Amino acid sequence: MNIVEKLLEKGKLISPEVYSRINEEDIEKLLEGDEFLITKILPKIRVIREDGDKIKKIEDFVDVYRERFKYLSSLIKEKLDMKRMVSLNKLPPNSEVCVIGMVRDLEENGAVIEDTTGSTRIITDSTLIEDEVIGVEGVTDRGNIIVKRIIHPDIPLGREVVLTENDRLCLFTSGEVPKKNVDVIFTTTPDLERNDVKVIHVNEPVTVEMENVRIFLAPSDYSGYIKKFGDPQRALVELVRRRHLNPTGKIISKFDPYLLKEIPDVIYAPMGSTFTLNYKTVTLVSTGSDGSVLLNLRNREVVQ
Amino acid sequence: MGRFSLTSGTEKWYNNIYLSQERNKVVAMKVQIQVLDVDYDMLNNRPIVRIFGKDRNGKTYCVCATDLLPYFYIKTTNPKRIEEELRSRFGGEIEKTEIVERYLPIGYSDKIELLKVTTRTPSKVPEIRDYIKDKVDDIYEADILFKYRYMVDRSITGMGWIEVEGNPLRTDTIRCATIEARSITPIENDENVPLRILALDIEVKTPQERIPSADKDPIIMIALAYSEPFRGRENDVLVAKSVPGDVISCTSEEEMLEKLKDIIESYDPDIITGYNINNFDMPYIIQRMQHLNLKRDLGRVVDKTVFCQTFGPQTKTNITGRVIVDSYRIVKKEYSFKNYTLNTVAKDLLGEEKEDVSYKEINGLWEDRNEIHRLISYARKDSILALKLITEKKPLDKYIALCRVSGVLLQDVLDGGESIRIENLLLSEFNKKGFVLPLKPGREEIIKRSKEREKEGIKGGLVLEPNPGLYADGCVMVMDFKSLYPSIIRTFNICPTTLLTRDLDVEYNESPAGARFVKSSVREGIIPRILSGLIDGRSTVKKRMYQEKDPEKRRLLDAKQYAFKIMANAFYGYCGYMKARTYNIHVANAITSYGRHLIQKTADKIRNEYGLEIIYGDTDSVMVKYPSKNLDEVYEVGTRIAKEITDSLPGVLELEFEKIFRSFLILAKKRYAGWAFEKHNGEWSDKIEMKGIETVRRDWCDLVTNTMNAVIDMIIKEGDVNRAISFVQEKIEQIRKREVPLKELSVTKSITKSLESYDGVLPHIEAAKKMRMRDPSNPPTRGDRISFVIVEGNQMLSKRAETIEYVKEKNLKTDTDYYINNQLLPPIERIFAVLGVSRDELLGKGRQTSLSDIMGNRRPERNHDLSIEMSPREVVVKNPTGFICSECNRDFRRVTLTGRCECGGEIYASGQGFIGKYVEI
Repeated sequence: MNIVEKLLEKGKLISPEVYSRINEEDIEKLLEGDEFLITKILPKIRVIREDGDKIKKIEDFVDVYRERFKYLSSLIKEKLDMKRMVSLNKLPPNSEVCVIGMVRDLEENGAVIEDTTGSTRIITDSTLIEDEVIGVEGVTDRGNIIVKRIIHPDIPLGREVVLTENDRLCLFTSGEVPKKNVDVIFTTTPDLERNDVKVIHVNEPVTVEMENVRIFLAPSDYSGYIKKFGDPQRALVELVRRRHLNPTGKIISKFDPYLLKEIPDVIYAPMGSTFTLNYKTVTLVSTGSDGSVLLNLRNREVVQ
Repeated sequence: MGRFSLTSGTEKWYNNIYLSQERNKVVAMKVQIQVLDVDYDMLNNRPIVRIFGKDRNGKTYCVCATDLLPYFYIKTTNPKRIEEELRSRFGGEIEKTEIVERYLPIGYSDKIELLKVTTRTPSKVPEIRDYIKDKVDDIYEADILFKYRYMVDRSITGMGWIEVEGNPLRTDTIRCATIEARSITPIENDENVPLRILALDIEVKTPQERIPSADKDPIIMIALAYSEPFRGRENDVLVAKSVPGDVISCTSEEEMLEKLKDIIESYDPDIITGYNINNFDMPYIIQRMQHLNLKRDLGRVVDKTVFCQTFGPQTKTNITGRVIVDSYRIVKKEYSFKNYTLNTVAKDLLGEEKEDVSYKEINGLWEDRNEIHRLISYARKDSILALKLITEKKPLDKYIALCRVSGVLLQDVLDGGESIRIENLLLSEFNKKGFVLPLKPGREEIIKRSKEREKEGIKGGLVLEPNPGLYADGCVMVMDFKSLYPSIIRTFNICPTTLLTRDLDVEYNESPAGARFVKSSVREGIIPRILSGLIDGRSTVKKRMYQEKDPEKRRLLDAKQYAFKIMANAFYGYCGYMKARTYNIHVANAITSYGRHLIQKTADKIRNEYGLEIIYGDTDSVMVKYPSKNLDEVYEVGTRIAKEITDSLPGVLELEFEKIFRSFLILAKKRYAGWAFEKHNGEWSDKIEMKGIETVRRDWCDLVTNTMNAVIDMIIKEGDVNRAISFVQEKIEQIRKREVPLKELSVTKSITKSLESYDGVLPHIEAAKKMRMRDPSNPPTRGDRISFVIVEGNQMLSKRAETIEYVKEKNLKTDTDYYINNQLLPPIERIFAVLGVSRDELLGKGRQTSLSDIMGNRRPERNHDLSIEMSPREVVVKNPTGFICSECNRDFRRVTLTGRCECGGEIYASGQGFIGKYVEI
């Protein structure tokens, strides 16, 4: 007689999940007394916080931007034609060129971009964000570059979609808490407290890992970007393509928290309206005005 | 390895043993030890010097040497006759006499013939000296302690190292391994051996009302703390009666003291320490031992009795072979505290406190079987704290460094003053160069010297009369001469040995006071030479220290450079010290006259060549007004001027740019306060500096101190005199309305003797007497601190002192006039006086219009702009809002990836009207 049968005899039923986690002592307890095991096992949630050193002098600011530039340009390089790559202080006249630069000033017809050697004006009508890092293919003309193509770091296609083994219901909310069974709550409302469910207050950029699924919580002021791109969904996708959720933000420490080095599996960016969308294996979630999204990490589906 | 029968009860083998070729013969041995203590004894009519020291492994040795007899020098025109007189009077005591050639110490001259008299017994030398002194022209070196005579002649220094070759000596009188030395050679070694320390603290049972008296009051407890485990213990408490617990119970005080001696003999400490051990614990123990007829041999020599000597208020105890370290005396010298009770000191320096037992409770706890453990803990903790003060704060490093530099033994460096250190160094250097050292001046000589001083006058440093006031519209540069007097001594070769006492055809320097000193090319003065050695030595050690990574080694090097500095600075004082052996009024005056001359010349030069105003000068520094608020600019100008003046001066004289006062309030000579800025490693740091303006006095209540500090801060740092005036006016109002908390108005003083034994009427004693009258069951006693306030009334001031509790209880009124006119205003007035603010104005009676105001004469500025300009390099911009190019002023939203502007200029952060390289977010 196996344990399931033994327990059944005593009038106890255990779920497969509990069965897979049960050990000898628990069996004793169950057979003996009237105790009930909790059938729900709390998921392991790991909060990964990163801090940076304080900014004390001008050089520290420069370091942060250089770090960002270095990282993002390494991603962009892989997509460019290396043969035609030049640095901005060595632009040949009237030639086809490939450059990588950080956007410094936006202008009517384009922008001024810079790298660690110098800067140049590019002529384009693509929408650019200040302080993002872009690859540019184009032609030099009287000191400027006429842009043919802008390349963003972006996320690769064909990345593995990471899911949890079992149902893991994550509630992302700006206020409402539907009466459903949830495993964890991510909220922007500071006064929400629960003692039966883990509540994580979203007030600073932080990564949460739940059974290998990486959830990047990114509270920020997205209004500028929403205005630039027209609607929140588009804005969020465009930011993810730049691999930086807040390029124009103020630097307050030597750590650049919104720079997406490791690609998260889920991004929670409360932008003021409630939606969910998938972009190349990353699930993007936003909530606003009391809205909420209940996401099952086993299948990345929204539970209604 | 053979076995040796040696001294009682110590190790049976040694390192560095050389076996002789023949077996069982006396063997030779060689050891290297660090010298801890030296004494001598007489054996077979010869002095035998005993050098106590430890080797690297911590083994203690006593090295015995008999190769020197005491001697001194006589200057006489008839040496033969003097020799005959001495022999006839003192017989065999005179070992030998010979004619030698030496230089005399005072005055530049050739060697002359002196009679060197060698005797047998060091202790008889004073008698011989006193007998012969009126029959001869002069006597030299007849008052050198024999142990130092030996050390100087053999170049042995206190805490220095020696290599000894000799044979082990079997002796019952010395409590450590003993060597009969065949050769002793000083060696170079920077190591310090770990010293074994014993800390002790005694408790005495004495009736409440009086001070413990050694002939009546027994010691009841002795707490001991060990620096290395002793019999597995870290500390012990000896108790003079049988009690349970972790103690060593004895049946009587006598047994307890014997036990103490046992422990000292077995543990064999190098250092015995305690908090105030010199004035209390040690003399008390010695006196009790005397009273109980116990042998007082606590040292490393059996039968050598320990005794105490009292010099005025201080007592010293001498224990052969060991060093007594009184941590109270060290703390008093090294640190500044409000009071020096062990509790205050331990709290601040160790972060620990005494056990909570008050002095009054001791007798009660001793009698109570259930409470005595508290007294035991209390005593134990005291000894542990006393030990930690030495082992954790490591104050001995500096003293050990001083030993090595001056040559003096550790006990004498701790107990003595600067004289003994300098004189030992002088003796050594004089002798090396063939000079003899004069005797210490006797009473007659001192009277002669002070009469001469009165006649010739001795002037000190030059103090330039300041214009009192507040200087705040520019900066005040402070420039000072680095080590002025030692530099003068070295530059002009000033020394008793170079003083020209008659006309000679040699090159000389003439001091502004008229004395002449031969140039160093003719003869390098001994004191200038010593100073150069000390100052150069210090530089070398400092360089090594900055490169040293090991913090332990660094600390020792720091102690060493500190010792060099102290010794160098003490020389000038010694030259002017009337009781100095080499004192000469012309030497002393020459040094200060050069100093005055230099300051005057420097002030003149700055006025005439640079067109700047000198605000003040004091002995070795000048304060110069400069019309700029930019610290970097002022720093550059000041450094340049100091360098140019230094270049124009001879020898090693150096004028240094020290600091900048952004605001400077000077009340009178030697009384000023300022907002000082100093630059270290390219960064500015600031602080308020005050001299001669006390803000804390024991007779002042906190109200005065707090108000003084606030007022000075407002004037110096904010430049807001009006606000300072309003502040004082408000305080006065608060006092009048009785809104000031009583605690801030109270003054606290201690009762140091019984209430009856006070002559005169003192407020805290009157308050204590009233307390006693009101509650006879709990009278205030010796040791208590009484806080009191002054209340209204008709009687004299002291009789109107009451405790805070009583004032609250009876709702008494404080004497507001007293607090305003006698406490607060006097010191505050002095500050405001130079700013043209009268007492009346402070009292709120309005500003007086003086005649000079009406006539449009200069009215002192009331409010000053104390903004500081610093170059953007130093400014810290808080919460920057943007960035800017330092060259072309172009604005940037953020820093560039290159860190620079296109024009090539550096980018700075900007915010709140500041720009700078440093930020704070």
